[in-house]
Amino acid sequence: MIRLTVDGRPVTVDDGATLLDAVRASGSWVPALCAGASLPTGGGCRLCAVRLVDQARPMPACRTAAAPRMVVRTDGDALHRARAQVVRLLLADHPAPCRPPGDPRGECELEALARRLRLPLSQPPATSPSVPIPSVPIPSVPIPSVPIPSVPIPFPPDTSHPALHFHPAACVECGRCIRACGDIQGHHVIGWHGAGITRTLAFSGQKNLADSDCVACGQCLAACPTGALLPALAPVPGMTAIDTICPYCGVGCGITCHVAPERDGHGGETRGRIHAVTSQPGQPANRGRLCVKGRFGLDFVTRPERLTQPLMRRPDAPKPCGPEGFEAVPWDTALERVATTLLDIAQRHGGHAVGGLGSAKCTNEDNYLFQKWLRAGLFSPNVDHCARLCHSSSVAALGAMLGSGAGTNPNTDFLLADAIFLIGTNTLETHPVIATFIRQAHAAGASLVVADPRRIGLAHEATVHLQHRPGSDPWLVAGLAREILNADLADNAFIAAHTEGFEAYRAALLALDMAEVGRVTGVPRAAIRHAAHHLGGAKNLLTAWGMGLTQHVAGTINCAAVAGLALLTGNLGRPGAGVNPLRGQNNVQGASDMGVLPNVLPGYQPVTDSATRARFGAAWGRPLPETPGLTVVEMLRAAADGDLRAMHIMGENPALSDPDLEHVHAGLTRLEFLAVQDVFFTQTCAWADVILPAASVLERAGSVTSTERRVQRTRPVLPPPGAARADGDILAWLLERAQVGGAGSDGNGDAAAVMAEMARLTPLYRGLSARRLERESVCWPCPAPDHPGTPILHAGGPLRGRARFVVPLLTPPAETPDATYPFILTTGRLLEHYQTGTLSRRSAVLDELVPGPWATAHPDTLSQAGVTDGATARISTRRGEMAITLRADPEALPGVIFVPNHFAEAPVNRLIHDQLDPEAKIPEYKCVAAALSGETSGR
Amino acid sequence: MDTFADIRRTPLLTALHQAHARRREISPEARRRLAAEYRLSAAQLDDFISFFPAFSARPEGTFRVCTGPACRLAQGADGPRHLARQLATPGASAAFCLGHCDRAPAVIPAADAEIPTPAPPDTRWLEHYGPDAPRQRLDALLSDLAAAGLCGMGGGGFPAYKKLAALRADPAPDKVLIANADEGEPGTFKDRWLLDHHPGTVLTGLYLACRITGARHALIYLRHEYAAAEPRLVAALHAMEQAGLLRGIGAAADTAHPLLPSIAIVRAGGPYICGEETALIASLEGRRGLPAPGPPYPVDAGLFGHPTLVHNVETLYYLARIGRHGPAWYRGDGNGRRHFSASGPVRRPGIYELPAHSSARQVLEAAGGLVDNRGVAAFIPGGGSSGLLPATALDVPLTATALAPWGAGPGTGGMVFLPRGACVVDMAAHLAEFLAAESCGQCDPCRLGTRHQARALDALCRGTSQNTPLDPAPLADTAIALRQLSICGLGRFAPTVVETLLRHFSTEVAAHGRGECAAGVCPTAAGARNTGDGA
Ligand SMILES: Cc1cc2nc3c(=O)[nH]c(=O)nc-3n(C[C@H](O)[C@H](O)[C@H](O)COP(=O)(O)O)c2cc1C
Ligand code: SF4
Ligand code: SF4
Ligand code: SF4
Ligand code: FES
Repeated sequence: MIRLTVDGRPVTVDDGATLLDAVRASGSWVPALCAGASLPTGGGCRLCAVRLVDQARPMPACRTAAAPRMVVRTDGDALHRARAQVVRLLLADHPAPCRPPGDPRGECELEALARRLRLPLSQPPATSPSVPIPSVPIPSVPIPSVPIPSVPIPFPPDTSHPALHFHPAACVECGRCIRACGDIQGHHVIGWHGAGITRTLAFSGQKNLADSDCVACGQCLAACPTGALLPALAPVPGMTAIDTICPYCGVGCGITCHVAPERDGHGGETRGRIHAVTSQPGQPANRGRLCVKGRFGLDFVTRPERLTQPLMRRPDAPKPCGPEGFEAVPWDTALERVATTLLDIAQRHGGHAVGGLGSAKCTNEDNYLFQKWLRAGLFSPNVDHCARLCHSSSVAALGAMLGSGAGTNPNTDFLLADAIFLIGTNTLETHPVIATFIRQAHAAGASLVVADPRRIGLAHEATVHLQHRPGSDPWLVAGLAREILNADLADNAFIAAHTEGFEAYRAALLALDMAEVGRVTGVPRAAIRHAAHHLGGAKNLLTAWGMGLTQHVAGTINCAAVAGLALLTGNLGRPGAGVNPLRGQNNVQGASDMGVLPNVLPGYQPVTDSATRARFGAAWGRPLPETPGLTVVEMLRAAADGDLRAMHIMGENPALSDPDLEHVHAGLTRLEFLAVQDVFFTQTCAWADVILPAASVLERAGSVTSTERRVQRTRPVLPPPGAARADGDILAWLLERAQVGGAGSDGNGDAAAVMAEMARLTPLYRGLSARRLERESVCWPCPAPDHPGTPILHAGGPLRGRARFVVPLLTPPAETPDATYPFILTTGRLLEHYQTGTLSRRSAVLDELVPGPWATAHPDTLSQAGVTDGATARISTRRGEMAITLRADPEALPGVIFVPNHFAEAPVNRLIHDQLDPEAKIPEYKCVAAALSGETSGR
Repeated sequence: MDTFADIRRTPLLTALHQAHARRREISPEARRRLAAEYRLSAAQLDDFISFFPAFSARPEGTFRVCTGPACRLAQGADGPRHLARQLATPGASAAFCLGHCDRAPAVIPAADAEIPTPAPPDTRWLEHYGPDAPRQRLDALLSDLAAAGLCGMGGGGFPAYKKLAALRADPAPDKVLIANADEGEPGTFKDRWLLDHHPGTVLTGLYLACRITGARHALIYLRHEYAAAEPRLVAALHAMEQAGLLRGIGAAADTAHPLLPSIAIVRAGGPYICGEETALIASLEGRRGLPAPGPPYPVDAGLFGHPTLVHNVETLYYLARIGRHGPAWYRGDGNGRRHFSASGPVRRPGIYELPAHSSARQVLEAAGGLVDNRGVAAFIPGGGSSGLLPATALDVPLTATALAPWGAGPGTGGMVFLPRGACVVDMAAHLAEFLAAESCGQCDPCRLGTRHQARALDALCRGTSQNTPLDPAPLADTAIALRQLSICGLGRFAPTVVETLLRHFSTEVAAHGRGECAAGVCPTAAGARNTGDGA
């Protein structure tokens, strides 16, 4: 605490505060144009200057540290005149008003400042006739000089980009956007060009925005005090601001949607449109940051292709078929059909003959009701969701080793780490906002080790990039552990106090053949050693991984190995130290928490535990299945075999997302009955018998749980389109029909009531309620209403008691390249798109940014296969083949083909085998033997 | 892995000069390579490159024509037309003062001047101050400097011995000394002259400064228009290296004594502001050259965070000479000595070493008076931001105290004499324009205030303000903003030119307000008619 005096009033500020903080705390006011909220200090506008009694020259308050006993004055004639003159000079070239009415950021800050200082907006600085001057170029000047461009900004507006526009005339050169883009997001796309009087803002060195490296995160837009940076979509006056959570990825960014009703052209009002998205102030998950999807990609909600009517398959329509094979029916007809058919099949063949897929895109409440419907309504053990396909191996490994399958640290903990290890995560594209924290930590000195077969964005910036061969993760991680041991960097005190099984682990590592590690991974030993020194030498090491690590037949082994590194170095349970599987979808954590898994009830309570079953059974008034059910892939296999007869799929798209699509399609075709509940007519809908139009998360109250276990409130920002209904209400109807007790049994899917029942039955969530979430977000476990939540897991030691080392197993991928299939195919995601593209490809901005698929491979691989850069090529595996444009990527590993998995026109999952990790049942999307040939030579 | 934040790495500035030397531009290919090598985004690299005029494309056959104070006065009445013709030549571009005022009108690239081979550094004598020198010997040297009262000659005037003592006391292992040879103040060319004629003495000063302070890394930050001096500096450095006085030139050799300094030459990138020491350091670190006011000051955390001392070339020159001749020699009759740059239409433009408290008239006399014995209309006492003074001030000693009542300062000793018949308003407008163009732009008062001044004086010259004489009120407000709020000296001293013009030359200002330029130089309505046909 620092005590000082501002304008005669005593103030107290925190250590590290600036004089600007002190001035604000004192109730005095100084203008501050270049200082943006939560941006690093600028200091160029000089408007915040204050006087210190013992100093001759005024000091900029924003970049002067407050010190005890300082005596600060904000007033004084010279200071006032000086400030006013700077504002006049700024206004001289400023096109007021520079922002369109209704801009969610409010009035231009310069114009607001002028009003406060009572300076006219539209006048040249002061009265000098010589000031507003010369628009004429210098004519024949007898004594020439270096010409000063008299019109400072000769550049036209840049409207090249689908999301962002730049209007140089309104720019006050405060540099906030540069700091927002560079220091906050780490993209470094904006810079100055030139100096002094001719200085301008430039994107990637004088490109227009569309051609620049801009990733359209919109951080600059949020930071800009004027109308220089504007969204391409103009705001409209009178918008309502509604806070909710981004529906895309697991980061869990808080967003504020600005919505306004629209005329529909016939004089009526539509349900409205999201005109702008800003980041929700004060959100701990994202601290004011967003990515392109959250800020510009939400227009899918108002696409005309939304499902608005319940649909029923015409009796004569083949499976699969397009929307033309369906006819609209009233809700009761559709629901009655779903209920009777499913109940009937369950009755006749037993609950195990039906199965359900819940959704990582739906709220906790919807998922809770979904598993309740399957388990209590249909007595089916078969309930699962796509977490199976992304992080089931993480959950299996961490659960067994630590006692909880969840990530251990909050998103912002990356800022506290002094070493960060990323493996198999292209964080910059898949978890863009978490990547900003990683970059910020790295820029501040934390070392960054990236292990990835691809030279992904963060690999370029990393301290060490380990570019290992796909599928060689077990060797790489064991090699790292061995080098840590060799360098005597193991945390023996932690190992002794908190772990078990170390001796066997150590013995296995000492037996490791490092030459083999080098051979299998393709990574030089020096690089492994270098990385090991950074990981082992760090005070706080934070590890994060994604599907590059988990989606292998060795997925569980991989995750255990990486978690083993954390145990070896004693990095668990502290701020900035821990293990974090980065969860993909906005509520993939929550869907798992809600028991949309075949082996556990909500809160990871095993279905095999009779006391647990009894508690849930009592609340729901039904007996529950006693054995774990089938997983996603197993269900579709069982369907193909005829053992599973009916499915209810809520918000998932296995027809595009699952491995070995031929088999999946066979299974879907063979089902006697399929009910699909979704927001669009997905690929899976083509096999449905009944399609139930659902409200999207943006139209639904409830809660979602992000990758950092943060449970957050979602609010409906728009009413659902047409007759679409909230998933919860659909499920409640079915629950009522099946006469299941408890929440939803009255046919009402009200989120607060569902949350109350779930919290009562689930210790992890016990302290939560809809009321509480209205006020704050909470990280589970939260055992009581007055419990603050648990941002850091295992803080009091591993939840399991002693964390268990797992002896590293060197398990190769199921397929290795051979003469027929000489390459390795690997899949992954892109920044602009998401999952199967159901949402993102229906966003105008995202679609314009990345309209279609392409694959990449090393130029040598292309020439080896006889494919030219940019040409269409054929990728084939043992499952089938696919045509796609190939681009050369000189930084790729030779022999590896990368294909993004968002695109229905390039359904790469068709090519993936369905060999599963034996423990977690996760498919191997990341490493498949493949052949490549030019399009023409293919046939 | 390869962090740029290291004093031992090639500065980006140097890498760019090398790339530019190959192609006469920074090619897209070079940009890609350098961005990868220095781990910069395209924007970050362009942000840096575009700050430095030295890296703009300069195809074969292009040349730069100086429009600075001396050069616009050169060749008498024909001067303006001469300049205009030169600038109309294909490949010509206009430049501010190129620091060759004694050879006005100056053009770069210039024909090689005849410079006698300078004396090499006296390495025998320097050995006394090598790594084995007893502490007392270095202490004695420092006290000599204090006794001499040696102050910085780069314009700041801060006592040099105090800065040296502060760095000497710092226990940091890697300390840095930088010779500031980025002279850019219009009308000033003393540093160039010293580097041309006495490179050995300047390097001796640099060497002694390293030894006094224990700095193991030294740099000469050389104005890129002074590239001609480089071979002579290199020759002197080689002599020192051969005498075993250095750890290396540029990269340090591992074999040498660890306490010896390594000395490297880094070419600057062109902007005047990089002469300011914190901007200079930023440019060496691969950031655009923006002054960054302390704290921390460079002596505490300078180049890449290492304690750093920046000294002007002339300061180092005197450091060496005081070491050799003692403080009494330097003090003379009281105030020490300095090198005045005399230019304009004087008989013998050049450098004159005189007592520091000499008057303008004494400098003028040393330079042989004005050509044709024309009377002095005005003079610049010490570089572009020192102000404009009338002939009545010719006998005022060129010291801060004596010049203060005139609203001017001694600056860098760069004196430009304007003869009768030259236009003082044109000169002021030129200097105002110089400041506006050379403002780094980071602070609003300076970026916008210098532009306001430049536009106002430009309008006055052009006659756009005809019949409405220059309104001093808004300029006064701008002056307050510049003085109160600017980050660095450029902005803070920028009002001097305008203020001394309005104060000492009100007649000329009023005439221009009426559209009359008596000298027939300005394109005022009347003036343009006078000279338009001939131009
Ligand atoms: C705008 C500006 C320009 C400057 N240009 C130079 C210069 O060209 N050469 C120089 O030696 N010092 C220049 N200085 C002064 C340096 O900042 C620094 O004070 C000086 O190099 C220190 O050396 P000295 O103590 O030997 O004078 C400049 C300062 C300012 C504010
Ligand atoms: S675009 Fe906006 S944020 Fe960026 S410098 Fe200009 S006014 Fe500031
Ligand atoms: S990072 Fe994820 S949660 Fe945040 S805005 Fe982007 S997609 Fe949405
Ligand atoms: S006063 Fe001018 S030159 Fe100095 S830092 Fe500010 S803008 Fe740059
Ligand atoms: S807010 Fe402090 S200088 Fe701009």
